Amino acid sequence: MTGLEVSMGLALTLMVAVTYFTRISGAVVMSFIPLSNKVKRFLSAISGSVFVAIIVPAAVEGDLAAKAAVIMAVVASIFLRNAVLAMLTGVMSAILVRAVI
Amino acid sequence: MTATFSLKGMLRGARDIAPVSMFVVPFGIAFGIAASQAGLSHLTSMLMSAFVFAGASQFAALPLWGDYIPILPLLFITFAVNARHILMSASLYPWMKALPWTTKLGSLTLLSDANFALAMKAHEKGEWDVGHMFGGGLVLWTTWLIGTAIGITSGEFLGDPRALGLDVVMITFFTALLAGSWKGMETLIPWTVAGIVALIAFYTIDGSWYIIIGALAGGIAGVLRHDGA
Repeated sequence: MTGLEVSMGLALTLMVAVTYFTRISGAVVMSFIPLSNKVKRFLSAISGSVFVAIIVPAAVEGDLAAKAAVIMAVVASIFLRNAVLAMLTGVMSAILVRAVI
Repeated sequence: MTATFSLKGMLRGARDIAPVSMFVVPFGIAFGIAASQAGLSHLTSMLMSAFVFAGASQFAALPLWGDYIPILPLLFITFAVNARHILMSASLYPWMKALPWTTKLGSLTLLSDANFALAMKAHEKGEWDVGHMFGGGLVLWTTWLIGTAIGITSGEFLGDPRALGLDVVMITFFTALLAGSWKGMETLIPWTVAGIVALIAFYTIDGSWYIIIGALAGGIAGVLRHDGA
């Protein structure tokens, strides 16, 4: 499936515009009508789902180090309660696996 | 009480976010390195950190980056990863209502998870100055840029990115974010749907469409799940 491709400059500009849109649209909409519960649930579900959609194929296709990184990030999150530290734990696990295997 | 926006409020926000902001620097470094590895120029990386100022979406965009970039997947992913801003922005509205629109729209440029969370917490305890959110945002923005700058300058000197685990930085960060936002069934169902659909789409459709399809499936599952309950 191919699609429209654009230059870096345009891509970055549009990315900035979309991001700014997400920052202001909630307030703008609320000034007219409150967000419906359906919309809130959709936005909330899609926020997490997009990460899942990125991670799952990457972990399935990735090597043992990638799989270890994801698993250890989950384990570390349970104990450490800090996203950056959990991330570091995951990355270090990958380094370890690659060093050993 | 009515909303205000002042320098004093900004300083309170900056003060409250200081401990959190320390963690932004290493995250920024990680992005700077990843961006260099993905082939972004120093200028592009800095511009992205300065004007997108949304780490998770910046990371998510890297695999798509090149001389010609597939625009629909990029914009959808940027939107989906940053969709939570919409909810945060909506939550802030009742507080910000009385401020002029220029102030509302201007202060929202620096909306991000950490300064939003701290500002809302302060608001519950009686803070009515929206500068709190903006001041916290300024600190985050500064540390994010510092981290990115360090990352892009050191990115060239590092050896094999795989040996340093740099290729897994993005998925481990996203995993950590997800683990932190787990809410039982409310998250289990959309996420399971998203994971399965994304995997199927990954093996059947070219390009990065699998991300869009998986995310949409998860979003829809999140709406339907409640209706069916």
